[in-house]
Amino acid sequence: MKELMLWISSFFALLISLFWIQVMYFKESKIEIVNKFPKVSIIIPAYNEEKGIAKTIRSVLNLDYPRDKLEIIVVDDSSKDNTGKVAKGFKEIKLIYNNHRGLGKASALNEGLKHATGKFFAVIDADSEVEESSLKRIIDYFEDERTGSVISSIKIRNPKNIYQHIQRLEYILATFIRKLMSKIDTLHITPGVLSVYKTNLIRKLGGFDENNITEDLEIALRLRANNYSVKMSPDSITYTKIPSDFKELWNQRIRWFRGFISNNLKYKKMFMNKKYGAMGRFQLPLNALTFFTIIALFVVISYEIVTWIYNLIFKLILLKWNIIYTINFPSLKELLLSLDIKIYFPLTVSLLLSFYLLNKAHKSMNEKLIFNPAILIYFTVYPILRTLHWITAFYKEVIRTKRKW
Amino acid sequence: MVNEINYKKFLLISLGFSIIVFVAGLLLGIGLDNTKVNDLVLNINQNELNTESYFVEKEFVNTFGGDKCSLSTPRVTALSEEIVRIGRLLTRYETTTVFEQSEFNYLKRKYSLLEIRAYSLFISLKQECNYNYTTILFFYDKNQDDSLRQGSILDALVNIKKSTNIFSFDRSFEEDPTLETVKIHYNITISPTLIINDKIKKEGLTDLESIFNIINK
Repeated sequence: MKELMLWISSFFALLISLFWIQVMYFKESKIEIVNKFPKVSIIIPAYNEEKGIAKTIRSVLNLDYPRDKLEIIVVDDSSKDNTGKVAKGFKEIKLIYNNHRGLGKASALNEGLKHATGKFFAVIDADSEVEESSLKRIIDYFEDERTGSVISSIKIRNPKNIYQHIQRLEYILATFIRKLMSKIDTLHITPGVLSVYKTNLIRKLGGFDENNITEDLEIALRLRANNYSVKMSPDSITYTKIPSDFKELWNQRIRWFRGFISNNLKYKKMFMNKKYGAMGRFQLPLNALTFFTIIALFVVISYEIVTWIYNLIFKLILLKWNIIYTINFPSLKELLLSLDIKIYFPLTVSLLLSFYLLNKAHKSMNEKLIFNPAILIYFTVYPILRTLHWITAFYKEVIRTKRKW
Repeated sequence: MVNEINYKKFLLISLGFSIIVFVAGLLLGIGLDNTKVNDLVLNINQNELNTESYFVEKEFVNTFGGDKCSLSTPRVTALSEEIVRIGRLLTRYETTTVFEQSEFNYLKRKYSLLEIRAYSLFISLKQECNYNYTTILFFYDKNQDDSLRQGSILDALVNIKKSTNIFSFDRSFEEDPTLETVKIHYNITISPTLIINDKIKKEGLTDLESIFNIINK
């Protein structure tokens, strides 16, 4: 069973890695720089962000975009700290209050949307920062009528501890894969760091779903379900704040993964549906397959580990804890000949391709691939933690515990 | 943007390459099988040659005189150690074989015969030279947890008490009539079963202490 599962998952990993490598080398026609500057409303939803909001507003004010074409709306989502007070210090912004705390970020975004007068509106989280040219680059992508939203490249600034170093790797890979997904038109997430939308289109679609814990995923899937695409502007660089401890990371991932499961189910009509092209016939089945492969692999490997530990303990008891006497070291030749090459060969090729993609992801983000303990943990321990996130999220969705922001 | 035809093309190319990598893995596995078989054949041949050499030496001593017992001891002990090593190799290699099961069955049969011959030698030496060696026949089932545990216990036993000689036989292996005769002789019906010093039979999992108690009696 273990061998079969390893075989299936390495085949799957190999197939997908090779697929993305081909997409990576596919030359796209360049996006034309149109130098049009339509009015953009920037919505910054904020809840208890007194420490970071000033930086966010300053980075927005620093955007290389005509000042008269920018409308900055800060939505104070019933903060209990001085967020409103800090924001009020900037005379260039419009500060509005959302008194519906408890409905999540979507409610604050809808409040901001009510006041937006731009042809486009951008969402920027209050703990994020944008680079000067990020908005200008994004607007060029809206020349295509079918584009409903355009997202940016997210970076992590100065990761401090091991949790943040691991997340940095994760963000680099995720941004890279999003770039590739954008190429095959299967991108289906609009993160809160900097995503720009067509104002009238989002209003027509009913705004953000206030009953959703991952409104960024939901709105993107809704756009896709209405045959609009989501693009990525790789040159638009933004920075975000990430969890710094285990608990914060755990809670964030459970929320994300629950949102992933519930929203994928909500839009299941797209699954294998020819009408939605690569999105319906490739990306969504791939998401589902990845989810089930991870779970199955985890179950099989956990069973193997538990059985191994049980047998070891049993053996130790039988031997009165004299385990040292049972160890027989094989020679190198014996060890090599004992390897199950039919499994380890494709597994090794898959791993090498994964490293290749990781390296390419770093290059595409102008980041350095650093061989530190984080990379080792990312490939060994972290997948276990991620699977536990998935299992917990799945369990919570099945027993329908209250979804919390 | 990659159009629909391209993404399907990419997927097909990826599928083709993945199949090539998997077939390459299988071919490498087959290649490795041959190396494993050759390695085992070499070891078995070496053991056969050493056994033959021992018999020739014994015949020489019988004909021209000499101390048969002092001559036999190191030779038979070395043969026994070799057999244990070949047994380990056979088990280790067999679990990862791709297509060479029939070849492995042949080698397993040959190995069983080597073991039976060595065991007979030990028993006759014990009688003729009054040696204090411990011999254990171990009958196991390949995929049985208790057999695996018994194997570990016997490994520990050999490491603790060097003068112990283990001869292990796959109880489910039915391709050799001599092995069948041995099984009938000792009335082997379950796994694991131990025959200690040709006299005491222990059925089911036996712990280290119990074995020690028997051999120290």
